[in-house]
Amino acid sequence: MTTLQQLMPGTDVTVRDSPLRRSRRVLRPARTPAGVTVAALLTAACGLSAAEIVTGLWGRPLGIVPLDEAVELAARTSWSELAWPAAAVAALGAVLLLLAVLPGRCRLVPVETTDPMVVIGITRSGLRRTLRAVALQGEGVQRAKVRLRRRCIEVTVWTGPESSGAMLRQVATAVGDRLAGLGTLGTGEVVMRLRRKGL
Amino acid sequence: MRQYGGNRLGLAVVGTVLLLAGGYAWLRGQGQLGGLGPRARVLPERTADAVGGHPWALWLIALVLVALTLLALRWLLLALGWGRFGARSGTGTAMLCVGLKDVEGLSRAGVRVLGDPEGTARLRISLSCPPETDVGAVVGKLDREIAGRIRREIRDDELGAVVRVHVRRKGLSTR
Repeated sequence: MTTLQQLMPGTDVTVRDSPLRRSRRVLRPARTPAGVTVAALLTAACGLSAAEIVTGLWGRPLGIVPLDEAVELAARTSWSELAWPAAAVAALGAVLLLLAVLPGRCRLVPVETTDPMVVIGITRSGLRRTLRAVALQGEGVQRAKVRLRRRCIEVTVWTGPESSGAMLRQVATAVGDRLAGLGTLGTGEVVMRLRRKGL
Repeated sequence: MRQYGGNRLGLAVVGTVLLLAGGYAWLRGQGQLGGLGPRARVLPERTADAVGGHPWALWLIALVLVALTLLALRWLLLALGWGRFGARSGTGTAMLCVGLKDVEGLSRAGVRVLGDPEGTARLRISLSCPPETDVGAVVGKLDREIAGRIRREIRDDELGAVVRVHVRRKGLSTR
């Protein structure tokens, strides 16, 4: 029972999804490369082994999968000799399990929406480009670079020797306005860096 | 709305099996499992003889492997996108382009209906703009007007929509 329910009995408390959580659930990576790799290996291994066994039972073995050699090896090997390969298999299993369980980094940066049935995401390269375009519009900015870090967005601008703190503030405001207009979720704070040329 | 979870499920099952099998073999090799000696053979002669003496056991193993192959093949096809590409919606694409007609250089705008249109379907809207576009205004328009209008036109308000916005490099030709 929650504190609210203790204070006000009969209150129906429903846990509502935050927009960020809802978007991340839809936009999180589907683990396609890992899934395709494991599924292809599994299909090939099981299919070829089944074909080898069936053709062996018919008296005409395919000879693609060395099943007889594998059985002989298993009959010769003791469990103690198998300890390190077994540890490697267990480690591989743990990696696959982690890939399945961990949410991973979204390929699209979620954007705030008013409708819970609509999820909008902007590509990471797209967000970098639009912020870079805004930063380049600042007076005296010769070059700009945007990095999307886990908890912040790092914008580095290169200017001539005459640049000032006011110019940096102006660029930071423009970048912040673009981000606020977009309504990106979970991008964190913007860190501005200034590099002067010709000093 | 959820992301396709088949790959995660498959990876979790395969990972758990590998972890359990590897963990058992490692513990047994280290002599950590009481009563089961680490010096014993992985495939005892008695077991090999028993399997070899009964051809139905090999048929049974082959049958299990065929079933696993079919399951893995289904997973592979789904992972490659079979049945998840959906169908392009001409009406939706036209509405998207009309709604964003003020945006200069809009390209690769498209609407697809994924899944069963009568059941658990969802829309996938994608578009690409040049870097000088005010992406905030485009996103706001999509959120407040266009996405809702397309959803109502294709089915109803219960239809979920995922919008992918991309900003391309400068100088690329528009399509």
